[in-house]
Amino acid sequence: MKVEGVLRVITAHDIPQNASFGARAKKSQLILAEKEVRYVGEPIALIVAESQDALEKAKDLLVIDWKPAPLPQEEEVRSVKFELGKASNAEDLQLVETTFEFPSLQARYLEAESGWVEFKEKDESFNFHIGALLSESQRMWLSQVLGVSHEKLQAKESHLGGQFGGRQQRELIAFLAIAAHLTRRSVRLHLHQETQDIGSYGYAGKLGIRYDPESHRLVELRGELRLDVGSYEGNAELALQKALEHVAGIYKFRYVGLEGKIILTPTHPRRALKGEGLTAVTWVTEQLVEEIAKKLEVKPLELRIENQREDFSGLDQVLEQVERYERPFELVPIDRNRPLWDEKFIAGRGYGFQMFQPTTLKEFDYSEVSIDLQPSGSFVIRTSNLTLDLRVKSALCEIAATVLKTHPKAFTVEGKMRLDFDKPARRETYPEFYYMAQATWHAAQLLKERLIAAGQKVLGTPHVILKDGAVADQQANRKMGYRELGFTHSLHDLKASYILKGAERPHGCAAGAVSRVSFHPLTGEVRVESVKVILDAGPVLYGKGLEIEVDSAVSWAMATLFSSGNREEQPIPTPLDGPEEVTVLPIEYKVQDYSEEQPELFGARGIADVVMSAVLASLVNAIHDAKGVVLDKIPMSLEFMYPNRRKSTVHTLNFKRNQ
Amino acid sequence: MLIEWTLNGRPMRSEVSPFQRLLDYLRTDLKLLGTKEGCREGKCGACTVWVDGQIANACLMLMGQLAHKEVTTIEGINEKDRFTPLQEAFLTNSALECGFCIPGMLMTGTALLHQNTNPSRLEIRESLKGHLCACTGYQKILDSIEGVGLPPASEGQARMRVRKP
Repeated sequence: MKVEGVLRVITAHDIPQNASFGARAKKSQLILAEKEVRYVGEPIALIVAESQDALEKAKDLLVIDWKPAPLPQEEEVRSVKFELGKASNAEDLQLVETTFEFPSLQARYLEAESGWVEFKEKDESFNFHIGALLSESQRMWLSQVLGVSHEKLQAKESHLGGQFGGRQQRELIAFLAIAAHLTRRSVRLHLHQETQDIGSYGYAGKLGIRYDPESHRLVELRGELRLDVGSYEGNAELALQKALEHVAGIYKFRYVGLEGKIILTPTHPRRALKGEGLTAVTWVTEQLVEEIAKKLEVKPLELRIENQREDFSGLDQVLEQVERYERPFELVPIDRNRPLWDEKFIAGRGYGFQMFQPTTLKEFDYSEVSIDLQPSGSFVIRTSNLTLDLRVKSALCEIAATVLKTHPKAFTVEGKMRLDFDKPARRETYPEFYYMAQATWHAAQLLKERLIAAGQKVLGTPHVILKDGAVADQQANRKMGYRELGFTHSLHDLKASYILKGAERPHGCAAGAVSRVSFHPLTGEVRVESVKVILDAGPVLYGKGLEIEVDSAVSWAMATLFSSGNREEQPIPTPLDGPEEVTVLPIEYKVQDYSEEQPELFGARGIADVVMSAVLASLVNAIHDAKGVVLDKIPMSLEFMYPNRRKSTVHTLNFKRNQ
Repeated sequence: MLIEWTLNGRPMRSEVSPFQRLLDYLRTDLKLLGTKEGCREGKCGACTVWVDGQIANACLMLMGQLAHKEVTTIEGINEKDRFTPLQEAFLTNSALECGFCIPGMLMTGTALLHQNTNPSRLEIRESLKGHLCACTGYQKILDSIEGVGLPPASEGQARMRVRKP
């Protein structure tokens, strides 16, 4: 049967290579299902049509010849053990333990995915216009799927967006590319709320800490972690490994013994959204530590300082700073014998800590940045990453402007594919800001030297510095603007390029968060009053980036903690719900000047995960402090808010928005 | 139904179904994609436009309601290709991550600044309570609106203001 306006119906057999999404897994999802489907909503066919009406008609006419298979049960596909140190046989240890559940969180409807691909018949190339980034590895993967050269796959820079990479995007770009390839037309695709139902991994398990009540030492950490990945395993093993490595947080245990399992369930497949495991477990350990401090009747911060790991350089500074800022504030303990109606708001304060030390020093591929002075006196920054968003661009401008002592508006940034640079090998180059920022800083430093050399020649003095968009004679009151310099000088000498490759990462990341909440005992209203984050992220080039990470972490933590877990009801905090005050205090390092020697790297990896974990843990502990009850399930349930009341009689105001 | 209305300062005569949503008409028929489609039920504020100088959710407005009204979208607040001071402030503060909610925030923020040139932090929070942002967090957005609301630096030039709706 033919429907007018329908160009093609594509099934798995039509795709040149129906590849899987997760390379390492035993059970990985294919682009379009072949032979079997494992969950309701799994894509089995693509309809390409000229209009929405034709699309709907064809969809109704689609006949799928299928037989129901026995409903798949839960299946354990992988088991990972993590052990550190030696188990202790001491009998005088005490134990605190808890079960916990961290749900699968859904991608929010606000982050709708859509895009289009432009097919050029002349050279049979594809130009992607997508909101997120098209990374080098995705390009290589797509070229395999389509059986075309990767040079035919280009992407248009998006002005905004692009910090999500690898969320829903892999389906989107695969569907777009296949549809355009097989119909030889430009194609657009918009994923609706229902079709982009994607969640993060769901975690559950049990953790217990054994401690010595005499010496106040945390001795053993044992537990089990169960990771629900939905129908397909994907890259869950990496996330589970990260989670297990970080359960112990910042604490020095004599023994850590953890078991992790990856479980397949007949539900929508999930991914490592917003944090790879650290975020799901940190709050549990931190809450147990808080509980131990209460039992021992010591200050929670003191207990942490006594038990901190010693092999991590920035951690002691973080703890020291937290103590310095928090010592003057002593909260008045709550008198829990007073009647409920006597209390207006019960205040609570909580701490949360986490750190990230990259365990392997992976050699990453190049990031190349070149900066050229133009005859107009402005600069062009070219990066080896194809897609850059406006935020990254403005940050790179700011970094270069700081070094070259001019205004950020004097710079424009162009994303160029690595193809345009001299590159012998192609490997994974995820366009991380971290690498680009460093390459930009170094390129700017090289250009600075060249500008100074040119200035010395023109001004006839060795005492030349860069100042206010000009080369200036330090001793006499003379200067020459970059524009004049560019005009009078050979521009070939006034450009610099820097390739970053094979570098190690000397800095891990550590963060401590302190949150204050107030809790209304009658209405159940929880107010997050303030969040303060002390962060060791190595020498930082772009300080605003840290503020953004923290801001975003606070929003995420609040949505996670107060949401119902139900997709329909999962709230996003409004500006009124958020805390009035969010403070970020980075541990300051001197940014190293350029020298002939191998420079030390800036910044740290894993900042977002560490900050999110610490903020969520601090909020959980603040609520724990206010309510005096251990939270074993996120989001907070009604039973947690009102343990002694009947569910049907309770009306909650989780946020302030209804006031 | 033929309606006469004004869009971004331009008189319009449109043959539309009175029950068509303004949001659909803007995005599908006129290809004005700056107004975003989020929840389609008035929760998220991504589709905020000005109707006769008042902020409104385009997903909740029907074309039949717009006869002789003046509508301004995000495309209509710029003078030529220049950013407004508020847009500049968003960029300077890096107050955006995916950028999806920003057009709506800018419409409400600009409207607030027209009414009150120096709003307090609480007033800004109040005015933005109909907007949701799932990735950036709100502090930078509040900082941006607050920053524009401050009086201009004494020796600097007077700041450009956008036309009042």
